[in-house]
Amino acid sequence: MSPGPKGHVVVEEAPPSPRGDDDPSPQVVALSARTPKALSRMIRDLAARLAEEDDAFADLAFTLQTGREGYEERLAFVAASRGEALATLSALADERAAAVAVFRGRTRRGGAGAVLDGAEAVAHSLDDPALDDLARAWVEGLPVNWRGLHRGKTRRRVALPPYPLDPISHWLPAGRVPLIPVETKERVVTRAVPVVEDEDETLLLRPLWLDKPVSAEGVSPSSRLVLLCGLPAALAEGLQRALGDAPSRVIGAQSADPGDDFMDVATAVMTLLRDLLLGPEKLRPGLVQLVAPKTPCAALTAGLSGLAGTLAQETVSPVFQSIAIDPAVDAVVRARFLDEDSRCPKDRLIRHDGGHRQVRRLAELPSGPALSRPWRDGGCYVISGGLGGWGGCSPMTSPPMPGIRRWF
Amino acid sequence: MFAHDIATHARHPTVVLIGRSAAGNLARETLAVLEKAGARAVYHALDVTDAPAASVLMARLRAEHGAINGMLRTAGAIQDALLVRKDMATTVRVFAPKALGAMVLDAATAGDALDLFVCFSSLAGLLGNLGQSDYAMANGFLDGFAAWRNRRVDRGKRTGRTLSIDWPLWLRRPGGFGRCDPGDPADAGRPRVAPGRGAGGRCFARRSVLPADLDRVGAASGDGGGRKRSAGAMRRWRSPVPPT
Repeated sequence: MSPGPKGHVVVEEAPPSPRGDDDPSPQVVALSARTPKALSRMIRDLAARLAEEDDAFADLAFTLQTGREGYEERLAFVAASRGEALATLSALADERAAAVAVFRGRTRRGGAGAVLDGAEAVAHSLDDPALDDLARAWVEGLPVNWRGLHRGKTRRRVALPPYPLDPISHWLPAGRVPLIPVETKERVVTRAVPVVEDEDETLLLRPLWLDKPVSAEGVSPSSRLVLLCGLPAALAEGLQRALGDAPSRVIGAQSADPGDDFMDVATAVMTLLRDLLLGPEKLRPGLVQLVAPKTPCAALTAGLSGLAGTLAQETVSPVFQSIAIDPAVDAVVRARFLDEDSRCPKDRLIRHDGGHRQVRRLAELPSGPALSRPWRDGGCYVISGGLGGWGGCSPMTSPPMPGIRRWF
Repeated sequence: MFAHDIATHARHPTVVLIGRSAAGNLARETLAVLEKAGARAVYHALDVTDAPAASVLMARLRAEHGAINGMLRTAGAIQDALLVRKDMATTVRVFAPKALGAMVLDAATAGDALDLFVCFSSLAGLLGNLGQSDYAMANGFLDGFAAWRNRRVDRGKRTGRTLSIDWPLWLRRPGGFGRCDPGDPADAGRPRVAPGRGAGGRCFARRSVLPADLDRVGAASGDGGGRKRSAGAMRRWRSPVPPT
């Protein structure tokens, strides 16, 4: 689509297309969605629609069959009439699915197979299992030539409820960046709402690691992939052995200076994850653990946590955890830590410090009295990249600030 | 911003600007502004990933200006794309100026008696940001670099506090990060954050209340709404209260 302004003019409403044949024969009602949840909502939406509008039942079935993309979660059944379809859908919406005869299942995407021709089924009556065969074939992911079913009939598309999208928030709510005060308890109790007189109200945050034991009732995602990044070879091998069945990959080795292999490891991790996300969905693990050694500099860990935070915004699945492990701890214990972490997928940034399990939060730095600046009289200051923006920039006159819309 | 802060708050300082490209109109204008504010201002072209060239330039600065008192690292490049669309060849262009550049400038000033070494990082490193997997990693690296350099300071191998400041986005303009110009019609109506109003200076101005072990700090701007929201978040997090 070309960028730039577009205009639309409504001249006149299009005339309604002629109603299709009032065909009394039974029809296959076929529904599909990306997730079971969306399918349930689709069933409810369609039931509500059937209860309200009076379209020809055959048109409705035709629209569902030929006017919708086939997603993984599928449901199909044969109904003799609109009323019967409504009864079935209502029963399903009530989750009394056991009481009605439907085909339901999850297909693989792009499942290949023979095309079943609807025309062969058309001559048979409701008692004939041919329509049931089509319904089952559709649920199993076989391509069905639905148009053959309606050959020689007049059909039209009818307006049906739209796909029930699962709402996913891509915003950065305050709740996802929990701020905690670093001040003393007394201060917090007496001043729960910090009063800050800064003229520009710059919030200064510091990362803070807080002890958080694993929650007992946690459930780990169905599958996980462990990426061991920048660990010394012997350590990585021991950990891989201790992890047993859990798939793991070793990326890069550790060196003394943080800059040496950071770029290599970072690029390798990104390449691997990109290929994983581009690959077939069924091969994707539910959880990816990015494991790096806890070192004083933690450059790699900090980089990986930035990556994990980014990917959490770019994709819903898999879940990414950035985990810093203590190189001094025994491999078996470390593997157990990783197992435990996998049962807490909500903890995204984790650090193991000896026996302590910690998660990262952000703490607001308290405001203090203004002191003098650090610049010396006659001092020499080198500002690299200064012209690109930061250094060379002249101070702004207070611009309008409509709240924190986006932080970066 | 920092250059101007130095020029206006210190007497007769020298501000050395380093950029990738040869001096152009922008450099001349910026230098003129800084000179007017009372600083001696010079510009040098340098590829910060070129270690020998960086050493040569630092030696020249020491000879010309007596000493180097502070290093402020602000360079960065972005190539935004979702990870699934990333061309790994471009990630090097994002990593190199941040990660390699910091290491190169640190090595080139290892023997200098610096008061401070500041890295301009991004909140993307702290929180992640859509389309910036490589940039987030590079900035995360800088935060780690600051910690690493401070441990060297502790051991007497470097001088001057290192601090990595995770900024929010400034206005994004062709060719680089935002040069904030409220008068430019091209910027009208764009979202603004306001680190330009002295926030950077205050990170230091308030350094007495910064915990001594602080290597990185995130800076977010907001008006009363943002402030209130963070206060609400703080109330929810009142317990457990961590040790200071």
